[in-house]
Amino acid sequence: MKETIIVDTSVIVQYLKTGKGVLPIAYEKYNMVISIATYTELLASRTFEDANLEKEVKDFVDKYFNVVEVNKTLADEAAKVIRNTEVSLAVSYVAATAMQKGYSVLTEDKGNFSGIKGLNFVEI
Amino acid sequence: MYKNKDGKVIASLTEVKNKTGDIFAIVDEFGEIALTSYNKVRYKIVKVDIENSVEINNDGPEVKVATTEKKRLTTPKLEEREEVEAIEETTEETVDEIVEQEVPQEEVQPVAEKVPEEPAEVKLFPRTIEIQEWNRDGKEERQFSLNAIRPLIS
Repeated sequence: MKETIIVDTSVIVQYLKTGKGVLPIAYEKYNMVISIATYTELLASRTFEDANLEKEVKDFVDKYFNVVEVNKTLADEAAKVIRNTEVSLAVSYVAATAMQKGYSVLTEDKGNFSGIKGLNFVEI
Repeated sequence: MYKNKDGKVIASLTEVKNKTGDIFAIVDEFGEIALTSYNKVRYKIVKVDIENSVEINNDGPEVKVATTEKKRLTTPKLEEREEVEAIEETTEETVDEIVEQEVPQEEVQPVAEKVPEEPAEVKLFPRTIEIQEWNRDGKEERQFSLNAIRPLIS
């Protein structure tokens, strides 16, 4: 059974922009989830004012990722992360999801998560 | 040296050595001769159309022998007599034959180099798109976090 990891926004954006990156390898090796915050960050781009493009990327997300929504417990954890490290709301949700579910994080920018204790990262 | 009833020229090695001198001159003359020793045919020498050549290639010499016999020269008068021993009776003897022979040329199939195949990478999205991604480190995000952690009651 494949391990489940949480994929950060940066990994998906890099793949969509360049067609390169670790995402295909991660897909082969892991079950992939994203935080609802990543979903929002991804679709927040003005690129997706194009409805067709927006649908295409939504289909892509639905096909390859499970989206983990935020519940009250996870929101509590995210609030603690922000309080302790002053990271952005999206990062706090990704980190809180990883900690709550026991997922390792796949990211292109570990610096976003600096100072957050208890996270494991996927190296590909 | 004589010609048998089948028209074959039979000569003893001694005759060749003592009388003729040059075995190849006889072969040139008759096309084919059988050489006897102790009354048994031990050798045959065949004149072939001389276009033989040896080409040196990477796999070793390749002998090309023409298959068309050269038109025989006028045969000198030779006595005809019965052979003392039939040639067939000598088959158990070692008979070295120089025969015309096509050397089969083996076709060397080029061996394609095996290139280790790289597993094809899964294509998750059919093309690239230009995304102006949300900047999570931007001023607004940063300000949100700073505001969020500010004490609600001062």
